[in-house]
Amino acid sequence: MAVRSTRFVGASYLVLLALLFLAVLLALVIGPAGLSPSEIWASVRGTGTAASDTIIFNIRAPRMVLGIVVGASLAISGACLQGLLRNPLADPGLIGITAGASLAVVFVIVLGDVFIGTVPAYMLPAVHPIAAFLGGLAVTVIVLATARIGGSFSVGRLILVGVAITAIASAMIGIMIYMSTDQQLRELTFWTMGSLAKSNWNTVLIACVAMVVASLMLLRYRGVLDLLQLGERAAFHAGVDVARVKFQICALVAVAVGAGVSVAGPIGFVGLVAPHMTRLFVRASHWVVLPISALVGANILLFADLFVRNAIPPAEIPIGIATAILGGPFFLWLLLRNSRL
Amino acid sequence: MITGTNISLSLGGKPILSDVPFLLEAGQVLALCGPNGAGKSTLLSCLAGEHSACAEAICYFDTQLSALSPRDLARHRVVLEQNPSLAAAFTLSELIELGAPMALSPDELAQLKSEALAEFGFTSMEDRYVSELSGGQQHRAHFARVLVQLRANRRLGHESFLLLDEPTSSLDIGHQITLLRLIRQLAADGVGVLVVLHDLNLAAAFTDHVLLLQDGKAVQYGEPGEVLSAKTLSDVYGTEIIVETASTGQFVIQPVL
Repeated sequence: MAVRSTRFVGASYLVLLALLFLAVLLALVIGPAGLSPSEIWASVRGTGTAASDTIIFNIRAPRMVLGIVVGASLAISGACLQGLLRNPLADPGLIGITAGASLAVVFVIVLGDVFIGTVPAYMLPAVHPIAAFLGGLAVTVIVLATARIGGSFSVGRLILVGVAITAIASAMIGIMIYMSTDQQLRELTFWTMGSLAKSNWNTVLIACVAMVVASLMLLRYRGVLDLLQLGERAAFHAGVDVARVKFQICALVAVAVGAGVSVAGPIGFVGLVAPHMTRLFVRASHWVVLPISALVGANILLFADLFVRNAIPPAEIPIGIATAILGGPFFLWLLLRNSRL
Repeated sequence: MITGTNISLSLGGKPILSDVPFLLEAGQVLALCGPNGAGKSTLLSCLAGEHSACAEAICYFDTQLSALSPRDLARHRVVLEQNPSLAAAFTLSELIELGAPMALSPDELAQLKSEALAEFGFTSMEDRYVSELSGGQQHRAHFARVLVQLRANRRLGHESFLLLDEPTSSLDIGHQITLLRLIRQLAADGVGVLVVLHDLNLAAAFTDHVLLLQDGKAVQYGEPGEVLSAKTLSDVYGTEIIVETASTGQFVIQPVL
């Protein structure tokens, strides 16, 4: 298979940015509220009605921003973990962060009645995001501490602990679902399948700052991730402080993914598929994989969200189902037509 | 110069190296020989800085290995593993660039890269995927990568040593000779080279000194003519070995079959 030139990489950036621009426009224009283009244009010019202003600027805009940032940071996190672990199956869900975050929220929903009365009213909307963030963080601390037992940082142990924690968390979520009421069950769906529907500027901005900062810091490891493809010994020979870098990348991924889950729930598949699409269609060097995957991830999430918002209005399909339905077959097709992974 | 005093290392309670002395000077090629399990690769990994337990016994110039950060070490020595691997679908060009320090300008990198590509017969193949190359070609591609790191270090003013773990094992005889001639050329340019070699004839022909190891201990260190004697080799390898001088003046070392 021919190698893509630098010009091809440049063209990929252009195409993905154009697609993203289109997705942003569609995300603002299309929706169950049925606003006409003239109403939207009036709102943009500052002469719209209060209702259309609210729909565009306080409902659709934060949701669109959240989609871009969550998609991009999941993709960058997935690409970094795949590069770090030299394992094409790596995904933010793999090391247990997503499961820990979801479990914490499920606990609060089903068993939170005990303390929810003591939470001040203005804090109520933040209870679930905070629980998710703390749950993700707790798992990260446990996983990283366990992986470090014995002095050296073992990637194998990291994955195994992540798998074990995910299994335990899934079982406990299952117990909670069994114990929950109908009302609670509806809410649980959000925290087991993910959604961008709960977006408002307050929660979105806080989570987005955490995700953007962590993702930008992860971008600085492009060269190191390329060296790690030679194996940890050879990366060390080329000047990489391997133990430190592994710890730093895992910690940054935990922040990015924890913040994402705290506002959008656990959204699967993006972190796995976006880097693979980039490697298959563009290039394998992390100088290209990280930024291009971010654009691919943002596009996947915005288009998936457009689909779930408009497929059967006013009901919404959980976005995790849409990313799997859109991404799964595409991923299979990619694998079947291209044996080089 | 790399010096080692009483390098000792135990792994899992089992002593692998005991009190091995070491000296490698710039411009010199040193062969590390010995039977399987003698500790050759372990000694090389100690010198490369992979084992903190023996880092105080080794000095690069006047600095203890334990005082050097991974980045400092990458300036002082470059290493080629016995079985280099690559987990990603990189092109030859991407692979060869990997070792180059960030401080190198893009122009200098491009120059070093095209030199290395030409040297290894890879001209006009730089956009080929590494996975499409043959096993021997892949090994030479990794050698080219390490060479770019070495030359970049020297261009940036760092004196750098080359540590090679069995670089000839996957090469045919023609490429073995080409590679060892290149090593001699590097030594003539002032690079100190440590090379683990199983082929005693190559060691005799191409190196200045030989360090012979057995069971983690240094048996003998000196010029190939002294160390590679029939008696010493027969003792160390546990089989009768004869050493002759051919009409070309070259040593011929072979086991009695």
